[in-house]
Amino acid sequence: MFDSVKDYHEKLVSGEITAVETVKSYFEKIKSLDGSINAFISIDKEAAIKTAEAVDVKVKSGKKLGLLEGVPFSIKDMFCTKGLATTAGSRMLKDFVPPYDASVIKKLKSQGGLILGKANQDEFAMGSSNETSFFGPSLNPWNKERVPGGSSGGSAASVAARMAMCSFGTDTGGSVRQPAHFCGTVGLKPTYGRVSRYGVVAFASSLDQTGFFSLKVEDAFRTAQAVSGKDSNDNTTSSVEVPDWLEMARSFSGDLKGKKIGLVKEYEESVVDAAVKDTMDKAKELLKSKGAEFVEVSLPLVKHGVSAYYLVATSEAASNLSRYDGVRYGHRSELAESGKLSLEDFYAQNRTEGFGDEVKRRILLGNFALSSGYYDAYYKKACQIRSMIRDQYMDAFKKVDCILAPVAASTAFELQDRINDPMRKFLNDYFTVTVNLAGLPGLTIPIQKTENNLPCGVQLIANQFKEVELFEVGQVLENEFKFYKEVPNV
Amino acid sequence: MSKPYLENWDVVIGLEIHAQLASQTKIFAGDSATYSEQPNQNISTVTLGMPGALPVINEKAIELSVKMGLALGSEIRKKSVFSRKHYFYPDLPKGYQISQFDLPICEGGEVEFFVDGELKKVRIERAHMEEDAGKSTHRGGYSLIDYNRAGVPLLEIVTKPDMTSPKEAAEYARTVRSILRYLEVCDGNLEEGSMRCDCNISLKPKGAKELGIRTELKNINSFRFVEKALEFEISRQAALLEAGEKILQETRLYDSTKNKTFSMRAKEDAMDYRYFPEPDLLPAELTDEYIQKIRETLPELPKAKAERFQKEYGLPEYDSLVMTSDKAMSIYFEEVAKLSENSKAASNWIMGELLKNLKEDKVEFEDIKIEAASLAAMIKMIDSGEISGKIAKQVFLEMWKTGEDSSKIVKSKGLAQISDPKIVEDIIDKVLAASPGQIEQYRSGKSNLYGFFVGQVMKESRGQANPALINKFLKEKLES
Amino acid sequence: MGQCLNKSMINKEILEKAAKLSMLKLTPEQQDKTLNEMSKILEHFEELQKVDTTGVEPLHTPVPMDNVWRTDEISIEESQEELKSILKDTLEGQIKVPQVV
Repeated sequence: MFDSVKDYHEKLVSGEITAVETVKSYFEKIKSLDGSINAFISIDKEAAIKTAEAVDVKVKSGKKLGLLEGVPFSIKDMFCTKGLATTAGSRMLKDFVPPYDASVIKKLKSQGGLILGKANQDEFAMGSSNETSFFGPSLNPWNKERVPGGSSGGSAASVAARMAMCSFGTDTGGSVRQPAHFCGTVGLKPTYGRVSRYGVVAFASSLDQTGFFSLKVEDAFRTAQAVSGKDSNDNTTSSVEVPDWLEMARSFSGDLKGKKIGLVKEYEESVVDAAVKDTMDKAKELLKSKGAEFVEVSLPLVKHGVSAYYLVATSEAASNLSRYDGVRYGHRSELAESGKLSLEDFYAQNRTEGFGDEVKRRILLGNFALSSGYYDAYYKKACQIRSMIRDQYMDAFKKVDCILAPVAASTAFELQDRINDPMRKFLNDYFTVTVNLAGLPGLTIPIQKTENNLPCGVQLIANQFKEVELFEVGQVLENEFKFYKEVPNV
Repeated sequence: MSKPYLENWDVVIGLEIHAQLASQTKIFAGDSATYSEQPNQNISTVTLGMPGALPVINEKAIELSVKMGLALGSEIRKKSVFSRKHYFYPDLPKGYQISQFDLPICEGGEVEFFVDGELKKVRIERAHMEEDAGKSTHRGGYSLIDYNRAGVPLLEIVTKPDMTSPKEAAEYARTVRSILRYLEVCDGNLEEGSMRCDCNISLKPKGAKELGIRTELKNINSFRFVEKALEFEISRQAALLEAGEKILQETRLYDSTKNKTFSMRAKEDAMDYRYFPEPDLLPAELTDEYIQKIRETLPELPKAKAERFQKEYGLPEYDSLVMTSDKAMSIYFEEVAKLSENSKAASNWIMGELLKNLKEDKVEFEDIKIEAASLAAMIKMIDSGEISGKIAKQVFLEMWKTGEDSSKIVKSKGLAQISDPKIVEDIIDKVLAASPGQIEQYRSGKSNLYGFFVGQVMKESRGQANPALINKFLKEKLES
Repeated sequence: MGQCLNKSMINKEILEKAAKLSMLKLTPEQQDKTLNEMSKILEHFEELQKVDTTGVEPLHTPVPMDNVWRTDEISIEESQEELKSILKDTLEGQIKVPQVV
């Protein structure tokens, strides 16, 4: 339909199309496709059309359009949306309707963006395949026997299937970058602290970051620019200025001469999958031809990244999920109505019923890692290694402008494939978790379709607050491979 | 050297005081921290622990904590870290309390006070910031939760186990309260719960080095009960130990009606709080300038004031400590002392009659009716001989009841001492005329009848005849 | 100080403690499955012990930030009605739960 948001806005202003028509056509798409993809947990047609009507009025009046004016978004169900159920993909919050918007949702609305519905996800963002959702798995639009990735599977699938123009996801250990790779979309995770976490259901506080899905690099950055910035409601947001990424997009020459791109020895060594290897090779070739220089860097500790990540993430998650007890809100067991439960049973019953198996497993692991006698060996140790991993990345960035790496060990795998093997599940995240540990920004760029009609992308990683590096290299890749022209045959 | 509390055992007591800080809003949220009648009025997304809600620290909580720390002589940590303390309870909305664990804002310090005339020093281990929990009310079969109090800022002040008697513990608590009130950091109301006292107590064989097993006493809402609860606990522990039994490490509650402590839980599993640094908050970083600025706002503290009172007003040490134990009283005393120009009398009246009435009528110092100027005037009247000391007591009571000015009372009730020699002489003449027999007896040797005549004169003059004048004339007239 | 476990040390008792801390109930089958998984995971975590972390400060917030404190003024965006709209079982304006023992 549209090449980009810029294209969409031009067509709105020229009168070629209206926002209401656009939104209606997206809902048509959802109606015809989502039955088989299950990318959406809920949709809000009325509110979306109402907002679209207001957009059309604004366009007619000639007023300046917001960065995201009239853009139809799918929003991962981790973001609190006022008046609209926010479930986190869980039975625990299945009926929770927040009376408040997350800060980023407020910003989205203030920039004219509209919400088509809430996107499916792994329960409480814990997973890499969208198979742990209480609302059923989401499927990969390119091949419905495959997973869309996770935890922001619904977000990626909705953009890939053209059921939404852009999407919000969350990335704690790769949950935006990996589904973007599996579904052939752009996936941007900004630096930790760029985007407010207020109103976003917390998984792991020191790792979580809002991320963005789109078909084109410039739209992911446009979205990021619209909602980034210091928030007084979130003490962990940075006061570093948000650059005008759109301006950079306009003025970028496409020339990478002098650009130093790092290849991480430990990542390169771990690539075994043919599709991933071929994709990486093609990307390297292209970038070299555009003037980039490749430098080998070594991050010896990344091999411990997954363990360190899991210890930190599950510990913080176990803590963050303590508030879900059915006392004030959230799932309350029917047994509670009987009045026969003791308080302890009340808590245990609500939580045992409300949480799925994966979430329960992680809570147990997290509480174990924090418990007396184990804290030093597990949580504290992981935090120390985290510091060392970050330092290794910092050292690498003294030599290179950004790093090129795979996103995942393979392209989208089959449903049920990893679900019962905890170790394979973990190693899914090998290439993405250390980026969160170090608070770095990361970007997935889709490159090509591979065997089984599955998309394959690459990952770019930059130093803290240096998203511009991701933009430049990503844009060059996109200009060459133009994956956004591919449309899945759902 | 004070007498040890028990013959065979050393008593070891430590106190943990939780003081609600006097801020407008909660420690991590923007909803109100002031008392509300209606339940669940002071709430917000943060206070209710809603999904995605994040804490943001209130600068006032830091300011008041630093202020108190400085007053305690603590070292103010320039970088203190918040930690999560995990446990499940309905009045704890997030399933964890944000507190401070290994890097609290204040460390060390000392509090001095008198117990039975002896100077005691109690060392402060640490003081840290944390959030209060909501309130639960228990009914039959269910409990009700009100989150108004959830998130109110607290400063928890922990002592080293330096106290050795219940009286000492109670006095320590009173002293901390007075400092809190001096600084306007907390209103220190034990009954209402703006200040809470938990006691840790253990016994060890006399002279032994190793501490015994301690129990924690909670739910004590007056200083008197602090003493009584500890007294009971000491005898309970001593009895057990003497019978060769072990003390169970547990939390006990105090029942003031039965004057007993009882176990809070049948079996106490040590709770694993799984402390770790709060990832939603940055450490509180303070500069030297910031700390100095707060130091400059410190009012004269009780101890310094007491020392000044000793120097300036010549008060004995003990008196100065009593006088400065309450800020309002210390200000009152100074005013009375200055206006009356008789600090000793000011002290006597305040520590004597005033405190006595205060205790009997259960009144707060701020609410007494006697104006400082009025009391000062009364003292001046005694000193000038306008009224006698005895009459003054009457005047005082009248002031206490009505709040009326002392000179007005003296005038309206005609209580002025009679110092007109003619009038006194007349009264004496009148009395002598009415007591010929006694005069006879006196003149024949019963000199102790002198008191009788004085008494009669006093009776006749309603106690107002100037005693010096009585003596001057009476003797003359009796001997003549 | 802390223990590090090898496979044989993660046992039913430790799992039960973790379940209690987590307020979660596990069926015997779930217990077995979880024990099995956790042993594998913990075995993997053992590798961390090989890394020498002497003198390394644990990292919690990965990006340097400025500390910003809130001024002591009332500021809530939502109305009380809006906030209370999510509350479950209430009685006399308070939240009702089974009795705390």
